[in-house]
Amino acid sequence: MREHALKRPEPGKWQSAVLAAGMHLLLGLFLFYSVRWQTSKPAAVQVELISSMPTVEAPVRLPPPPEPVVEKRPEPVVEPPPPPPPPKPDIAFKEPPKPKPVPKVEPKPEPKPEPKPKPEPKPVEKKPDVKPPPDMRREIEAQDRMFKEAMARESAEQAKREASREADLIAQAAAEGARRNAASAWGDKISAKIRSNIVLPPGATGNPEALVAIALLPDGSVVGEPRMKRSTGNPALDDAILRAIVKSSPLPKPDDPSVFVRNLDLVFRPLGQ
Amino acid sequence: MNLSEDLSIISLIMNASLLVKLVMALLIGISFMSWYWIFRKSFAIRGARSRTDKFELEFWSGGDLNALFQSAANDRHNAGGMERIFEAGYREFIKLRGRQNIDTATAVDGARRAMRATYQREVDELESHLAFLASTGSVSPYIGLFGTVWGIMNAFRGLSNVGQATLAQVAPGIAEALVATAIGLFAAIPAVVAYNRFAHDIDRISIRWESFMEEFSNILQRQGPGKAQ
Repeated sequence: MREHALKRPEPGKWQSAVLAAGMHLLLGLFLFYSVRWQTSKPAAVQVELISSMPTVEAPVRLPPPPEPVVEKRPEPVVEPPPPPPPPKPDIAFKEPPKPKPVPKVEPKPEPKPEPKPKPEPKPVEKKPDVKPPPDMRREIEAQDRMFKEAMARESAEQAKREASREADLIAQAAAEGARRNAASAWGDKISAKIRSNIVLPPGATGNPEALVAIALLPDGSVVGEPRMKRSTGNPALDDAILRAIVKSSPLPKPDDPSVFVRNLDLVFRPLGQ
Repeated sequence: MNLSEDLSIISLIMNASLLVKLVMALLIGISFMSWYWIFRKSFAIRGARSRTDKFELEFWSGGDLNALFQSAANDRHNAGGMERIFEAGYREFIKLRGRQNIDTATAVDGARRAMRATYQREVDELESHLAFLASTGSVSPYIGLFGTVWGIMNAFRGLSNVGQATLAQVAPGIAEALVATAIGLFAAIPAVVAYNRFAHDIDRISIRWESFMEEFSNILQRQGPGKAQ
């Protein structure tokens, strides 16, 4: 008797194992597809807001007068301005077009320095080349002009100019192939624009950080309300940031349209350095 | 550049601390085993019930006991619980009845004891591994809770370095930790439901077997004196 108690068939051993595995697979799939809370964000561009307004720097540096125009127009138009403030802006753009703009703006002196930058596109190396006396003179001239222009323009525009100059520098790197840099250049542009619009509330201290999600149209305008995903902890500061974003709409477009994403996460450190 | 947290279930599991991961792995293992036994037991119980139905029908349709006994003895491996009980009882009865100095009452008693032994063996077989389901149901939520408590402790410990504590800084850690509890519950709930269901089903089947034993004893008792001499 005991024999058949032991020998009895075990029904559905493998079947059960397969069914159990299938059960868990189902459960896993269900979890995977139903529990993605915030997976759909394409990219987060970090933007830092700095408490000191950058207006001071604008006059000192030599960004070309036409620069403000640059921001609004496509890249080719931007090229003419860069020549005066040596190679940096030039390098930001593609090399072939360079010769054309240079003759237009500053006929004789420019051609000589320009060829040098081409072979070695990196900004660091160019600076030494640019420094020689002829450039200095040009620089001074440019500075004078700049001052006049700067006086004429509003301070916000100066900030923009500054930002675009920086963005151009970074875009330089992007031209070398890194699309990421293009994205960060765009981030800098956005940062500069918002930076110029923020009005800091009194009494804010520390180095709080805020994370704000915004949705963009392709033309750069902000759709709907920006959403505060992580507060700074100071409601007044949060409001200031949100207001600055709304006020900054439309935000600048990226130089490289492929960088554009609809949903951005902006990180603000409005009081940071 | 990537301050946005990705809260998909995969990243939640991947970001958990080692201990929490171990807890999750353990729970997934337990959950797998409990589902395995849920399926096996449900097959076994369904099989036992359908065989009992079939045998009861055969038995009460008034067939010859000897023929039934032959077919049960020849087809041992496919026999259901009730069939085995019948076979054990009848075999013992025949053996005892063949002896000279044994009366019917004693033979029926012997048959009854044999049936009881087989009955217990069969019920034990059906009930095996139910205890596993029961302990899965009661213990795995605690295991999951342990993982969660540990994960939340870590989340708060990480917070001590931050000047300003916001909900957003703790939330991912807590979400991570809670996954452990979720897995524990996923393992426990089906196990508890299945345990209760199976225990009830097995009770009903064993009651049927028991009443069959009584009825069959009566039949043996009735038939005994006639055939014994």
